[in-house]
Amino acid sequence: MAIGFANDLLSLFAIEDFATTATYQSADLIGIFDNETVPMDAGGTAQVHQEQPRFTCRTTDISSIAAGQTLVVNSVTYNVIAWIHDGTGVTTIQLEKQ
Amino acid sequence: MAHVRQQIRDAVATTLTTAVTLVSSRVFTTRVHPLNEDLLPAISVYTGSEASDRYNIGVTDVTRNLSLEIDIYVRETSTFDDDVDAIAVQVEEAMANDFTIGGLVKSSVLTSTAIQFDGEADQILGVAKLTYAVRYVTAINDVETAK
Repeated sequence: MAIGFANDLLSLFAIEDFATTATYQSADLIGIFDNETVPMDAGGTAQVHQEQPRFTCRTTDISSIAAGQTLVVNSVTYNVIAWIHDGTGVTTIQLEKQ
Repeated sequence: MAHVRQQIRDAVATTLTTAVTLVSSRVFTTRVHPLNEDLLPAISVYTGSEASDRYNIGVTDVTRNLSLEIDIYVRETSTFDDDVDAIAVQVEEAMANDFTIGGLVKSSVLTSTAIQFDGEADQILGVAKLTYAVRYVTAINDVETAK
């Protein structure tokens, strides 16, 4: 069920809890940054352990999202690669480290 | 002395360590444990299946047809496929320049190249698997000496 008010979602992204402030297209963007290390397999005999950066935020804060836009988190610059709107007002952005 | 198959694997790794400057000496043999991203780009050399047969009637030599695989691991951004091919150039030319792998084999020929990508992590991961058909000969009772 969709949450009706974007402001209600802010409680999910409280800075004092798990959220952080990133710089998205030169403006502040509040969301939760995850950077889990995961085993990747691209057909080699050995797997490769790589980081998997994702930024989860309110959909209304990134209404003009496009591939190639930049997002800076913890002084690291990422490019927007893809994103998933979950349908409840929350979007998870897939990032590529530059 | 080791099995000739191991000597072949080690010789290829030594050749690639010197010749493939793009991987900065990150050449492994039979790497099965995961590679952390700070180890890339890298190469690992594997010796897989091997078919063997008697060399000739009345002769106690065995001819062996070995599948030698060279995996190239790369992580990059938009120039990814260029990087894979740049490393493949160095690998293929190094292998061609030592066609007999230091005299251990009769021939080594590239028979296939398979390249795959995965874009789910912080940078694109790509693996190129180069497969060589390697033919070598040993005595039936001495597999530590190439003939």
